[in-house]
Amino acid sequence: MSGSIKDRVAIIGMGCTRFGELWDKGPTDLVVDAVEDAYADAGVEAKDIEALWGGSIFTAHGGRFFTEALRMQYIPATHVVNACASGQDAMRNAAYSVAAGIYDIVLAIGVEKIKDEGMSGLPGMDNRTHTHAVATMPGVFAIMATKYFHRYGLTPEEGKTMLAKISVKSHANGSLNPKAHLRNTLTIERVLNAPIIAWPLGLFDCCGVSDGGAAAILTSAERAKEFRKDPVYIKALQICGTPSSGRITTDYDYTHVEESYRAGVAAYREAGVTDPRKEISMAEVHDCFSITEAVTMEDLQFSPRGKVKDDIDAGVFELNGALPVQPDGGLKCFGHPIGASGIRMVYELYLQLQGRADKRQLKEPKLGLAHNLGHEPYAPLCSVCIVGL
Amino acid sequence: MTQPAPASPLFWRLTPEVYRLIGIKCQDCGHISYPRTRICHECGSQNIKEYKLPKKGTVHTYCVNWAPPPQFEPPITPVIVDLEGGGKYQGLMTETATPEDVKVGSEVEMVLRKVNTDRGLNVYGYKFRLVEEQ
Repeated sequence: MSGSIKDRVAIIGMGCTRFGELWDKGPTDLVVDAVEDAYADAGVEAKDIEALWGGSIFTAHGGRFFTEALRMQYIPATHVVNACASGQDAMRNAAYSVAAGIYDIVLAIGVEKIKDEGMSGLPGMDNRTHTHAVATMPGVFAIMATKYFHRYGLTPEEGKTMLAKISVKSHANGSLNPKAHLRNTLTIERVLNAPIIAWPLGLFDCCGVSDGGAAAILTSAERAKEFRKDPVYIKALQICGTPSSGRITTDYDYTHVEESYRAGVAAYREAGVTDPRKEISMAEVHDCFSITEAVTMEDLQFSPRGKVKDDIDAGVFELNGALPVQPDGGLKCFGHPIGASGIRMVYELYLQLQGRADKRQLKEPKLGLAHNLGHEPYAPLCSVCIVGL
Repeated sequence: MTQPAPASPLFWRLTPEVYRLIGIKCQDCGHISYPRTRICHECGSQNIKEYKLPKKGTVHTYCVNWAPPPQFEPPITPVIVDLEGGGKYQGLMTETATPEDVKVGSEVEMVLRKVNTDRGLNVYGYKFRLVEEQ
């Protein structure tokens, strides 16, 4: 493999809706709001867009959904469906088209109007053996927490307290973000005393269920400065597909996600990162549940295996820590409108890199990482995107 | 989002996995996989044979789900079970007095039970119960 996306494609505009229970909006409203926001940010118009890729699981059915919403006239439009990585994969496809020299200005969109689907959470989706039907998403991630506590010798109280600190941190960040769905702050006691959803996970170990949309406008690195003085460059865009071996074989340990690790390794190689803990300035990771964030810190090599608790206790991932994670509040506070999440994460990194993150602004971040984990931990599809100035 | 209605139990009896518990054993590396695969996920060999899973094992991990899918009464206790001799099965516990009776490492055995009723059709499958101490 000789090709690399590093520094070949730039983000020149981004947009993001407020996330939440947006009963007063329709799916097309979210697309138009996010994209108009991105047009204004980039200083381009609809007629400048040469092609688009849109990520969504439930809301869109084909590229037509996006072109119709935006009155995009007769341009190529592709609907990208790739589990929780749909948004990042839309951006990846859009970026590759620019890197290939086919288009100059393209649009990547992510949207989901998930409240309209009548779900209080995402269901398990595979019925092949009659056994998976028992799974809910909180359930399939809860079994990781049980095993993680067992493997590393944490009592349920120690383990749940470790996880509670993750949610308290994310809500502290989300409370500073006007676009977040859940803006309340939490205490460890409140997290620990919340109703159980799937033991050991309680209500505040689970992300919200929210509607939202986000969009990015990309162009070549050569042209980027025509549009703005501070474009953000793509350093790595990696997707790690899964053989689902964790589900099928005997030896999966339920305390790590191999696909997250490998997506990270590939992205670090592409971006030229050799010491992720030191070189990555901030990360938006797939915290669908608190345990997912904990394990992801180890999978992305921010913390040694089995040691994330030490870093959580030391505040490493807090807004003023050495490696802030979920500076915008994460899935915890934004919920997970599936197609939108990946681009929403990059939106926060983009604002932070440009110094536009207001009360959440970090001190001169250099590299930001966004990570998605789709499906279940034993059969996931993972994406990692790294962006920088 | 609604899932498609289940097929009749009559037809599920014909599939290798659901009731007959057929997985595969790799003839090159010996690894046991379930559900069946055409290619061994451990070593990549296609030299595989059907393998009937044993019904006993130990709990690898579990949770106690108080917000289960709609046709289930909470709480349910999903478990991942390491089967005797290799192979893994994901199922529900049954016949436990309280969910706290289940631990990582608990010895369990499969029993055929009704899993749920979905749009008028009974869905049957294997559940696990604790093996009584001798």
